[in-house]
Amino acid sequence: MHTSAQQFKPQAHDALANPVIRKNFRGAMDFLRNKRKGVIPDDAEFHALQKVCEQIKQQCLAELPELLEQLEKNCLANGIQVHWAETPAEANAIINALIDKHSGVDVVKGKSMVSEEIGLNDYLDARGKSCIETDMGEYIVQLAGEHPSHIIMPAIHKNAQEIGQLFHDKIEDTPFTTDVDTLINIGRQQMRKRFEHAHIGITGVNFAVAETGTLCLVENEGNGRLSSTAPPVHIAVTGIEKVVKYLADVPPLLSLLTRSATGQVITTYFNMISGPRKSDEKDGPEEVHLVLVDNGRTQAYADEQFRATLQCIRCGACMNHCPVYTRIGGHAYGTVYPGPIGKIVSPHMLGMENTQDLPTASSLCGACEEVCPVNIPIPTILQRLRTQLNQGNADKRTLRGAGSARKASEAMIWKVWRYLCVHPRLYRLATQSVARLRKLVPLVKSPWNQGRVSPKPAPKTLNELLHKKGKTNANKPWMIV
Amino acid sequence: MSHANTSNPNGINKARNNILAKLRGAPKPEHIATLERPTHNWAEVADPIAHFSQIMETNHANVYRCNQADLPATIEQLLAEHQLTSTLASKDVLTYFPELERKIPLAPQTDLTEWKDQLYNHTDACLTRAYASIAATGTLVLWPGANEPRCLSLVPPCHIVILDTQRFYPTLANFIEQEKLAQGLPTNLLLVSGPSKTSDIQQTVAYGAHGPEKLLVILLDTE
Repeated sequence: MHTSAQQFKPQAHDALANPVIRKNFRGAMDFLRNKRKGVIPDDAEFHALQKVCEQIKQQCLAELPELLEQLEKNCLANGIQVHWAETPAEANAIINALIDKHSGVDVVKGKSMVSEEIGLNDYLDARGKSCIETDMGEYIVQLAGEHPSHIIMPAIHKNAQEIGQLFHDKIEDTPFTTDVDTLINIGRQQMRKRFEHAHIGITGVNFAVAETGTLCLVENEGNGRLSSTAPPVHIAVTGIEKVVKYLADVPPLLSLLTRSATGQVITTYFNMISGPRKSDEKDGPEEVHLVLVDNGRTQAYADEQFRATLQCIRCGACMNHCPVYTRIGGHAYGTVYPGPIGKIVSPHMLGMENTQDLPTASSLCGACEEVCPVNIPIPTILQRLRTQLNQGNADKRTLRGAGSARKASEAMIWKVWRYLCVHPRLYRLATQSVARLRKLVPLVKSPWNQGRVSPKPAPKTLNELLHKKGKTNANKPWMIV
Repeated sequence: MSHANTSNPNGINKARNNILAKLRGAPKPEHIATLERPTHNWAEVADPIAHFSQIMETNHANVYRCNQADLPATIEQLLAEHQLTSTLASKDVLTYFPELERKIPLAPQTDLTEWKDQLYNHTDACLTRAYASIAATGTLVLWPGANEPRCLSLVPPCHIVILDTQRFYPTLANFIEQEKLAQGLPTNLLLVSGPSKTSDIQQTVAYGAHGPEKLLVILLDTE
């Protein structure tokens, strides 16, 4: 199943009508919310730490170009080679060239959303390289020919029944089972040999520490450790916003990341990589590469308000608490990053012309902002994106594809409305006409009355009613107001 | 500044220069709150060892405690208890247990490629040393190096680790600060807080996803 952001509305419609999707997401979101609540018992502590994390990320972003240079310098000093890519195509070409340089065919990949963002698997597949996802959830969606529906739990849209059937269908000699331990053990056995013999390991990065040239990876399964340890070459791919200045910045960010994401005080593994193996070490990669990807991030950076988008540490809490995401799931968005964060980051990556519906897929309830560990003002940014989408003034269209949702008819309606509002006589005339012709209103077809009862205007306008009241209550002026 | 050698160094430099130029061209923030980067402990831990043990056990690890004299017997006991027959130990463990070699063979002192098959397919446990521990989150700090390959704590289904009870830090922030880690990190520093696990299938926890299914922690009282 492949979805696209241009088809958001029909996809959302289909998801809403799918009881399995509804049940799987409802269950998963309730689970994740409760888990988070369990490790954030104290609101005051959360808000204090949230403030610290927000400020760390803001400061790091304020110094982003300098920190990227410092990161590069320290990585190089540690023996980590650094590559830069402006576009997904450039990032894929860099990774592909590295694999070719080592005559690699077998690639193991630990979970990396940036690799999803650049479409690495399809790119390598087309070039005869087999890149296997080793995170259990990613492995399941890859086996099913799908894409992740959640940034932390990629296979959250599937239940054990569906996964048991998938393994039975796709993996040789595998009897159907719904026992989770058995299923995980099947996955483990499938990937053991791959780890043992892989030429290249690819992972993402959670934090890149500028002062030490260190790449940090957060995970529970050990596949990230294996992907970065077992093969002779490790390629880490990440967005330019992941850099932090000091090693001391890591503990607060890590604490809120894992608590917000999966409700753990810390994950099973926190892996800090500061270089390839030294000459006396017996294992570990001989080469470590870091690929820094822009892909629209510099566009978000150029605007002080949109820049806050880059504070994101990819915990997924905004998805887990979003009433829209909970009901339609991750695939309906048609973007690599679904949910609230996806709605504010995707327009920079894909262009507003391709993501027109996303900023409108929100009730602006604010739950996402409330739980965000780095305090990103998501609802405010969504409103700014809506303005950009409909921006009529070409000089104010700062984002790629801005103004693309603007309709001449809609703009005209607003223009007329504005005119009426500042011309009282015309305004009265217009509202009175609507009141008189109220029986005709239901005949006007609009998306509003497709699922709702048509509004029927009152026989008299508010103005008329007040006017009348003003006469009968002439001696009670307070009634007029 | 020197750059990575790739097939197209000019193209790469172009990307680098463009990205940095775009970032430098962006407006500087008007006001950024000056953050006192925290140097204090995030949490006070009253009884670090008890706290650590409790979280570790909640995370499905087994915790044992003994003094140096009892270490050989303790190791023997848990090898029997978990039916571990083919075990390798890291050289770092000899610090605590010089006669270890008589009980458990040391991992070969050669490149892992030479004994990969043994480690991946014929070893059911490895014994390593923990560099330190973080009480607040129930976390072991591993510091692999020349004497302790990274894969020992990762590939076999069981990981046995010896932790000196003198090596407790209350929090990660405190550990980083006290150990002056910003001035020198090993090629691979690892925090381990339980056996490998996943909840990727219907939010049900399963252990031994890719790393060890069992984590046996021996708290060693060295005084």
